[in-house]
Amino acid sequence: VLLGAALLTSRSSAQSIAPVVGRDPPVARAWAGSSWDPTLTVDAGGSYEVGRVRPRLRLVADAAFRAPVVLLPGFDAWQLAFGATGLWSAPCGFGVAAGLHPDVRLAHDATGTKVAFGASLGARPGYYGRSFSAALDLVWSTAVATHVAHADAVEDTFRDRYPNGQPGAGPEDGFYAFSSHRFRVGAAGGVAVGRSVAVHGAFGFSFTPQVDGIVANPPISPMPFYAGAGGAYRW
Amino acid sequence: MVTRRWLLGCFAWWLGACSAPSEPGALVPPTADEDPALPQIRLEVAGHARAVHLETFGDSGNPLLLVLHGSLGDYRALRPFRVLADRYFVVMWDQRGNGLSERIEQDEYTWDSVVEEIDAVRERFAPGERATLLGHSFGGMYAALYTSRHPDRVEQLALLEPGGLNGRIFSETFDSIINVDLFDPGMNEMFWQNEVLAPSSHEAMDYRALMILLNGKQTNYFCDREHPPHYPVWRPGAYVEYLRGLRMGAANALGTPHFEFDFARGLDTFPRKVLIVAGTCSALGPEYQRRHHVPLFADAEVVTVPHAGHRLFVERFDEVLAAVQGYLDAPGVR
Repeated sequence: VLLGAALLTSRSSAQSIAPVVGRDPPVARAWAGSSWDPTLTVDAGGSYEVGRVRPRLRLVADAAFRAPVVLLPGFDAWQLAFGATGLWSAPCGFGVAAGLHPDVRLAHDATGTKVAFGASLGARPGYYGRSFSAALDLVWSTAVATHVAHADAVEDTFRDRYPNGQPGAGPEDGFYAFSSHRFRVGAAGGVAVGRSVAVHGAFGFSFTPQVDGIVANPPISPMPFYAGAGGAYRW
Repeated sequence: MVTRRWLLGCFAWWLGACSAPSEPGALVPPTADEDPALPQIRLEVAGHARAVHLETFGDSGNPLLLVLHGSLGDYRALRPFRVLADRYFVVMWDQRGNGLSERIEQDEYTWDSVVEEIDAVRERFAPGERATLLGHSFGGMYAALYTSRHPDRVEQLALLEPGGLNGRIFSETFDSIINVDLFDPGMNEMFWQNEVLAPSSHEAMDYRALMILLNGKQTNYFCDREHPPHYPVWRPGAYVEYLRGLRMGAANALGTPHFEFDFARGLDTFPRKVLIVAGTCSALGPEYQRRHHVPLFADAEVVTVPHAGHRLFVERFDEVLAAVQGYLDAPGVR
């Protein structure tokens, strides 16, 4: 999950870099929003400007939580990310925000419990004006290592043919490497409403590498788009 | 610096020690080509020889009975029908790309190849003889397709809740059968799983397809959609489901898709009686079958199984077996 540098930005999706809304926003920020990515989710987070390396390069530390709306009550699916975002912008307003956000992801369902240690890398080159921003949204998100603990429903698929649990007959509980990659290409932007409030949004194409180049075959594979919006309070 | 290198080395070693989701037998059981110990034959269909997971029951001198499973499944759930081996030579197999049969490529899956596969199994076990077909759901549709193409090679035809036998029926009734509810927890779990285990390999796709099988809310098939009856499978073949959708003309469609296929052409020329068994809880139940399918045959009878859904033979095997046996034994059917 790449959390937008909420200090710099009001964009807060847990999988993106946020565009700056305003060139000189307040140093602290809290946000909430909702998006479709890869299902209907809500997210909330906060950020704080930790320093300026150079006059035009600002660093923000941020953290965010994201979960599918429907699964929120059971706490069966969520993502928690921590990271940093940097923004460099030229005097004319053009610039780029880039960030790296390690994260933890949980998916608990009928097939088992999966806990993934992932990361997202993103960049948002675009225009960062005094009170608005508009940028390309480029994100690579991956589950670096996912621990899968299979449910009985999965074990049942093996049990009939491998009743004695021969070695190698699975299913194997354990870590799986690079079990998910997702790429986003889209647009993101935001508008500051006064100094304390900003709204933001993003949308675009979402691609998950799949067998035979399948782009979407829901529900087996994700829908190939994302979209989201939210608001932030800054101080 | 040494510490940093050591940590990086440990991390790389740990990642290297992780399994890959595509490893045979990691997420879903190995297929027949991956495990030679599984009962199997090699079958050449559509120009490709594939390992087909298959079992036979009974005396090979008896009349041949071919059992065809439905979508997202294999013949595991249908094995209780081996009791028919008292008078038939029963052959059950996982259709190519499904269950423990070898996976296939896209060009191997066409309606012609489905017919070719059934014909190849029939020829393997009863060359030149007619076969009795017993099919469930899509297996019933394929049994009908085979009968429409080769009515002279079919002795008896028993269908357990076949889906729409042509694109018109399938399209008209799709919304009454399939639920696309974006607020269904099961649907959300499947979408969310992309964050941790994406369908980037056949194995991961199959694993995902198991979630569909376990979720009773996506179809109007069951008496209790919250708790659908357990349907035993070895491996739901997700890629075949994708290919099937392509062939039906509905892949990648959002909303109500339009299907274009015809498994019913010429079925009215089949000269013998056809049995259709349906459960009262299913959207493909008796009313559906009487309204849409009975008119397609010259002579078809619908037997109703009360308090059963689409997985009727799992829920009420004795009633379904009695219906099938009654049909097979009826004078004049054979």
